[in-house]
Amino acid sequence: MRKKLLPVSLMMLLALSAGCIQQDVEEAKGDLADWVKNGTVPPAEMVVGEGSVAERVANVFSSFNENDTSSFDSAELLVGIGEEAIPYLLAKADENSTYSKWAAIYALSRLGYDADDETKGAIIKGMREEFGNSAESIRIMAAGTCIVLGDKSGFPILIEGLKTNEMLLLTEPPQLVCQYSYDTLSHYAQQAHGQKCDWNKTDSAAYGGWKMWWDNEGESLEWDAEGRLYS
Amino acid sequence: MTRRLHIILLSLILLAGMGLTKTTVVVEECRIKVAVDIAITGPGADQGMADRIKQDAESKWNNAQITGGECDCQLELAVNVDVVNGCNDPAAKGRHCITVKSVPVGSFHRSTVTGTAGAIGAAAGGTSTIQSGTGDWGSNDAADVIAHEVGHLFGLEDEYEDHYHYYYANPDGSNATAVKSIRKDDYTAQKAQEIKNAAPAGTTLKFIVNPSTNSLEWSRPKPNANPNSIMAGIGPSSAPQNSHAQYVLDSSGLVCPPECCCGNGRHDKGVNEQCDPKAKPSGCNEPMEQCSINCICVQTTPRCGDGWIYMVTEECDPAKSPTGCPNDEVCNDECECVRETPAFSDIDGDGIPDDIDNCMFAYNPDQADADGDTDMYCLPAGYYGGEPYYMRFYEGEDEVFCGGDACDLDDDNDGVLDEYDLCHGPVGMKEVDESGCPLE
Repeated sequence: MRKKLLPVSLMMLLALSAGCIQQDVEEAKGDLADWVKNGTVPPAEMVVGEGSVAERVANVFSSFNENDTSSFDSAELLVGIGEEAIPYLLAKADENSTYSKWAAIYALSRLGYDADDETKGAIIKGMREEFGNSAESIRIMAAGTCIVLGDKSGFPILIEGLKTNEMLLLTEPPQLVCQYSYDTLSHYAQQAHGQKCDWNKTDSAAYGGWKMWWDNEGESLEWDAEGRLYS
Repeated sequence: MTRRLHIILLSLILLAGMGLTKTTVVVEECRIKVAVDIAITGPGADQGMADRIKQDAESKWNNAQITGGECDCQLELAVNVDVVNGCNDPAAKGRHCITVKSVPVGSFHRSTVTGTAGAIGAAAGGTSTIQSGTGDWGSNDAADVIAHEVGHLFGLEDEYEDHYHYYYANPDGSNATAVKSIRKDDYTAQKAQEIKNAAPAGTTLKFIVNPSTNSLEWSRPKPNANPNSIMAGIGPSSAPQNSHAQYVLDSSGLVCPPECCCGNGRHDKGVNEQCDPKAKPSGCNEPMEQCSINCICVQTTPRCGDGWIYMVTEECDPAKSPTGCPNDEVCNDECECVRETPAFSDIDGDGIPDDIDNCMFAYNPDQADADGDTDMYCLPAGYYGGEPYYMRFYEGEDEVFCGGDACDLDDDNDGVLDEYDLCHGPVGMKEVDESGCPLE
């Protein structure tokens, strides 16, 4: 657990102590970042280029700048590439970088929705591998994606997320881990337990209620592929 | 002819375009009226989404009843949303154009607006406008998200920012200092060096990793923002704030005029207002004075029940607390102090008060008492066969059962209980047998 944390934090620390943050931001602001920042997002094909799918995916990932959160708006362009991007996104989700995983899961949660069962299965497999990620946001996003795609194994992760009132990584506007968990659980399980959390409070009754529900009902829970809900 | 037709058509198109607005702000009828005109396009844009944007934004912003200006003008939002076919559609001209993506619940999407934050212009001719912006929203956006994004469309900025948290650690890893925080935007190379140099001797600088994101950023509402502000984040408690209405006024140069102070629920001094009828206290010398709808104190005519004791004609007032009467008296509707009447009690509901009822536990409105043996010594004694009965509690008295017929087990007073008595009625001094009939 700790081992995975160290490289990211150390890299950030080195960059910070060298006073490189502003410089990095400036250097990273290419045409794409400017387009995104100015709100004049051009069609996906213009931004991601006309090369292979792999190149286009890589182009979008190279536009991300950890010190400029608005640069992550271009993750939307990955969705624009379409289902062809899924294999490359699965590879990106397997990288160590939290931000690469974030962008890959962001797009996979959308592209997988209408994909065939085989593709969904591959995405679910990739997401399950993130259930042990040390960054809670990545665990939550992976679990949420599983639930959206019809795999109930994500429920216990989201139930644990009800206890965290930290922000879900790169949500815009900011959304807490516990809020996302609550909304997703409520929608897909069609259940209501306790209250949604806030910046300053979580509801232990909500966690207890959902935990009890999962312990009692989890095993028999079935995915209704047509209604896209669990019952 | 053809050329003239073209000119007419062009004029019509231009006029139609001029009729469309983006965001306008005016102050009318003591309201800060904000009108936002939105065109939505994209795979998630349909009439249902258009209706939801309008409903969610208006209800969130208008239900909060936020106010701005010294006289508290209330912000009133009106949102107009139409579905268009791309931002180049003529119907989108001059309006905020929002692309709505189709996003399943639980999937991820960053909803944004660009080009409008802080872009509210100075009012010209009483109207302030904001240039058209663009945006990228998701079909799964919750009501709070929509309200947040619409806030951007009338110039509001985000009220959250990233921080770094750090502390200085001892060689054994323990904290040598309290945890400090610095805004990410303030963390310049120079500041980084300053923080490093500020380390107490023998300690090292440590940053705290956010376990939720595995990064150093901790997103938090800005220090001067209310954590529950709709622009600082979303959640069950997030709501529009008065500061938002104030921002709209300030940045547009519009004012909430002094006449709006009357009726705003607050006694505003210094705006030629004697009182406010919705304020408590109103500002008048109540109850001798009352505040009129024009915010002027007017003399009132004394009347009983006005909460004021007019000493010339009133001993007390029932609406005043205390009423002005002694403790053992009450103030009646004539503003007179009178002795309190004990509460009327009638247990059996026959209309006869219990204290004079000859059988208080049985319904006997006629108070029939054949042998007339009810007096102060005749009192309730219990139940016999489910019926109440009275007995005489007076030493040396022969008669045992007494009271009204409904409670008297021996109505004719001949010494034989009614249920065994074959001869009802007075027998006077005559002797009777076991069946209650005279012996001779």
